[in-house]
Amino acid sequence: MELRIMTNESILNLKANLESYVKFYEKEDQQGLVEKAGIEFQALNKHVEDFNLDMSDPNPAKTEGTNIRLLYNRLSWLSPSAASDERLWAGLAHDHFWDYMMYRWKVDAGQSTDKKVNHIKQNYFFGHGKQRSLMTNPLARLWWLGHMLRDEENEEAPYALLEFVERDLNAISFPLFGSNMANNKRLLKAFLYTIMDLEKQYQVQISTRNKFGKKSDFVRALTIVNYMGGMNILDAISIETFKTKLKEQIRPIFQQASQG
Amino acid sequence: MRLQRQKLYPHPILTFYNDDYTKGEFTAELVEVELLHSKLRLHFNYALDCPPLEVLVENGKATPIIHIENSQTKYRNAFPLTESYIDIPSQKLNGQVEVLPMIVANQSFEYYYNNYLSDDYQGMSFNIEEGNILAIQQDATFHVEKEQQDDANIPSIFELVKNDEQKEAITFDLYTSDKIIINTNHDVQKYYSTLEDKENPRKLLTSLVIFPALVQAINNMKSEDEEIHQDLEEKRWYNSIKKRLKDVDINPEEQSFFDKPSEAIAQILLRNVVNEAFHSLNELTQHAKESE
Repeated sequence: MELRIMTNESILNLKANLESYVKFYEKEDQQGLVEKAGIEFQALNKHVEDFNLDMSDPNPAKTEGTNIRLLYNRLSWLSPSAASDERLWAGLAHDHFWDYMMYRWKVDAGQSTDKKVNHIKQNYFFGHGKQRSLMTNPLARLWWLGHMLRDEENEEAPYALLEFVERDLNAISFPLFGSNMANNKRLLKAFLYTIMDLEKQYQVQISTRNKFGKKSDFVRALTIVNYMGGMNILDAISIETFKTKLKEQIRPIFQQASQG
Repeated sequence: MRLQRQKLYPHPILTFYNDDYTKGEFTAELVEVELLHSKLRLHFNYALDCPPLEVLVENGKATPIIHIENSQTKYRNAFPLTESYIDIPSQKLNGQVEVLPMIVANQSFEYYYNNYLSDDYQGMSFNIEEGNILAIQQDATFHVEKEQQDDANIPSIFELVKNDEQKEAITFDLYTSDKIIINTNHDVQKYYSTLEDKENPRKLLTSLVIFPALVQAINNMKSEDEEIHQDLEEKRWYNSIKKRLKDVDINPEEQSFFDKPSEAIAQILLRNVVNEAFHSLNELTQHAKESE
């Protein structure tokens, strides 16, 4: 298959005139949209073996974990620099993965035009700031979660970290990747493996959803690591020291959880 | 990671913005970003002149590091500054990169009062832990362009976009794209594309369309709102204008930039285009009269 990015001009034109093009998204008419809006694509100079994403579950949200693996395994060669480019994901959403987008992020015909336009902006393009969009654009998000959570050093289970996160994908990934600590993969891995170790040790599963204005156990652990990062340059300390200090600080969360 | 001056530390810090130390200096100024084959080489002008900290560095208890963060590519790392430069694979970076030089502790130890410190600390000692900051310097940022653009060419940072639904002739959008978007309605777009190739009307068009957009952009650059700044710093247009300002000897970090009216700055950047537009208008009317 050919990977095609969308030109900047096409992105700007589409975004500025979405009201006029909403109907094509609604009717799932890809060809009509491309022709009417005069969308231009540019092929990337790299051949990729043809693949598609999983669209088999009646509940599309349930395919997320499988699709992270599918997409990242095929596109892991993309550089972070290329994968942070809106043109790539806007291109794929309107081209090769159009059917997947229609399955996962269909435009709801019952909504107001404003809402539909917003829905398209946020899912088919980068609808937020550049960093946040990597997690909110559905295709970029599949790649970036694969990129951040695949552990090449763990030969037996390279997706062990993803398995932990997909337990409650949104409730874990949004706060986790909203923290700058997680941009350092060495720290990210140490943080998640430490949580997994402690869960095993205390035979508990910590909570991941905030309830009644109370922070979840996971968010509490994340707050502690952010606090540690405010005092020290975590990137500059040895990973053993980081793990030891972290374990010491977050152990009470697991002790409490194990006592119910 | 950016420098946060308001942050307080439980031990003295050698830096330019406080007086924990009465003597001594730490510099690690980013002097050049060199693009080599597949990496970026960041050159620093490093100097540490503070004997109590120099001893710590020599003994391996502390290390000068460069903290690099590129939020757009989710990249963050600390590089020990063992040479006068550090190398980063260029494919890991895109957009704005933050550079923060520091000296950090490599291990835990007790740090005692010495005569480089302010008298406030007389007789005190401090528990330093691994990862603690001991010295910090002014941060810097640089911009990695995926596609090299001619930044000196101001008009390249503007993009006219036809918006069929729009009633107003032109509106500006500084936040959606890397370029300054000038949304135009159908009529304006039609006239613009027929007129832009002709020499005389082009200057008029620049005055009518580009000039007000640039004034608005400069006004936003002067905003004191932290959030607005963070949004803008990611934009290519913002960095291009900053670069061009420096070419015409206006430093956007200095008060004089804030004091100078935005419309005056815009006219300098557009090489007096408003004046030229009046000349063009005059010539056009002369021609019209002659042909009558």
